[in-house]
Amino acid sequence: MSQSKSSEKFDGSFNAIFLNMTAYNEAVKIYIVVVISFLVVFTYNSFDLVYNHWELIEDATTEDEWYLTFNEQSENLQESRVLQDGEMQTFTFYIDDINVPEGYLIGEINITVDDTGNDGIIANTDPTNECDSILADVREGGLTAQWTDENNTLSGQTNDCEPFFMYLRVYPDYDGLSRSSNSVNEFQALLPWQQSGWGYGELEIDVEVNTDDSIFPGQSSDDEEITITIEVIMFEISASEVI
Amino acid sequence: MAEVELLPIATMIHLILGLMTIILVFRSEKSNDNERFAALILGWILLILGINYLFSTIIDYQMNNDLMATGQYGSSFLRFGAKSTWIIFSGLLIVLSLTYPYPLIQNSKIVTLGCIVTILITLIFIPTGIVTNFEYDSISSLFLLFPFLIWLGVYLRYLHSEIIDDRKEDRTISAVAALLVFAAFGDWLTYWLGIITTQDNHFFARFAVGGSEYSDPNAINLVMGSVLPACVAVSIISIFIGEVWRCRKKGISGVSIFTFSLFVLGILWFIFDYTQMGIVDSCVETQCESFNKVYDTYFIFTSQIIRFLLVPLIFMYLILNFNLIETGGENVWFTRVLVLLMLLIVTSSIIELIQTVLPIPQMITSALFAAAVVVFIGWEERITSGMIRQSSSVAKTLLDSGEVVDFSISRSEYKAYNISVGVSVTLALMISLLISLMGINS
Repeated sequence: MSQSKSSEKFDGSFNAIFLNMTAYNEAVKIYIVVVISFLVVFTYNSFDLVYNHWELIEDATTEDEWYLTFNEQSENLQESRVLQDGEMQTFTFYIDDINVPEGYLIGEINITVDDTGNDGIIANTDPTNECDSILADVREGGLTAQWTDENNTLSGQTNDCEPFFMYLRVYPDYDGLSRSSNSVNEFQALLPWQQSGWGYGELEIDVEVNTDDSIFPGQSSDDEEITITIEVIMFEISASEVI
Repeated sequence: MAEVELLPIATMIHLILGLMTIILVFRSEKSNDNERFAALILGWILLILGINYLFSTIIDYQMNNDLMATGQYGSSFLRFGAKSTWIIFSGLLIVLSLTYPYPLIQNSKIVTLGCIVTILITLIFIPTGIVTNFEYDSISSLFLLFPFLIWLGVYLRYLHSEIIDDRKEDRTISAVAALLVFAAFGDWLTYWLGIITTQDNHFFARFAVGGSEYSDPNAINLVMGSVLPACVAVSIISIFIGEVWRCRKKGISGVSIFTFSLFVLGILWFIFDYTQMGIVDSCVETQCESFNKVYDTYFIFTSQIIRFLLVPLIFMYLILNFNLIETGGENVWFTRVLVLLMLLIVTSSIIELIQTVLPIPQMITSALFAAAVVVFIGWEERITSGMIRQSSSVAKTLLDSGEVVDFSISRSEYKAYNISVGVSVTLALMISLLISLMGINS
């Protein structure tokens, strides 16, 4: 091993300090290797960061516009019952029983209450026939849905022998209309539309019938057949970047 | 989260040890002046880290209790204060590396230079940092090039003189240089393999995306940010190779064992990190996911303990064991209080940490702590003398071998340095407070 240690008296000058620090040639050589190693590690790490990560970071921190479209499928549930005059019954639909396709979520429920089954046709063609009064209320709770949404129609009635409709929004803000969203990536654009847990449970609808006597003998009845049809709208979301 | 529990303890440890060290420096009239100056810098480093951790503790408390919204944090005094104190800490490391263990400026001008460096860094980098919303804060990691280049140079120089010329006393200098590298780079050292293999760049990308709520990421900051990791990786590998060589020639030492432990931890952490890469990339590719809880525990028991407990212990070990301050005479009782306080705080925090992982009843941990207190009090003298056994002084070794000149620093110069760092910290906090009140970055 070579050594080039200065034999001069140490005076604390920069030159003396430099000579002292570089007294061992091997140490200096290794130090140079260390500095070069640092430069190499720094360079390839910087290169990796700029070429392999920077674009991803930019994408992940810059919001783009995404166009969201809903593919819909629906499934119907139906139940008919005969109700006596003044009677109230609860129709229960088990939404969990619906076969929701993979990737789909329940968005909304359309409810149709129909009493035209036994006297509607007669009533519509015969002005002398009186229509029964039907009242329906969707019971809150039981199903995970947007019960306080202002677009909901949770009660209805008819006495003109026409079916009436009710509506319950199940998934937050779902209306089936395409829309745009500002998000950093497709995943986050889709994220608000991938919440599970909505549309579980049972939907209960209270129905009450009040029959009206016809002024013509033989045409009045004390009961009414009520048919409730539940149309469960399911959706699958897809996003495409607006360029 | 245990990090949150460790932070207040770390704050207390750093503040108390820093303050007591500064007081001891002024009571150590007989110490070598250069070493006394190094102790003063170390005292300020501890104190400033304590202030930094105090800010982090308050930030964590406010965030965890929903007392501060994300938007408020971005322009808060706490954020500016934490970032500013970190800049001053980096600046102090420059001065320390020029002073200790081998003084590169061997006259009292080092104090003037120290004052100028600290004040300039405060006046230039802190306001610039705040006004630019710390979007280029990685530039302060360039300061760490000084300790990296100087301490590694000193380490290699004195490792060679010890082994080649069989100068056993030179081990003191290389050991101190290695320990200073470990203390300066702290918990980063456990990620050396991740840095070498570029695996840690996935983490930097995650942090850049995660921190984009407060400041926009930019490529310059990202590149500058890789200066510190590169220093860390090269440092640990160089010291590891050096210690292996030394072990073969001279046998194993405490510093060697510590180096090997950090080296092995780096390999383990590479594997731990590899298992979490999906989660790490989630921030960039989809949405940030949380790390595995066991992984978090490993992080607390290695990196966090190194950063919050081991680093102040290394600094105190250097101050007490290498005679930077007078530990005898009238300072004995002061030193004993310092050592016992340090041991008790560290013991209590380790017991508390264990309690967060193992379901040990509080009665048992309290009993363990009480037992530790009894041991510390009973063997107080032995423990203290063990900690301050005055093995050797770097200055004495260098003076004996004629590699430094003996220069003196007057009491007024120490005071001037104290005032300049104190003014810098006050200025930094005032600038942070005033700009945060103006709400410039909100």
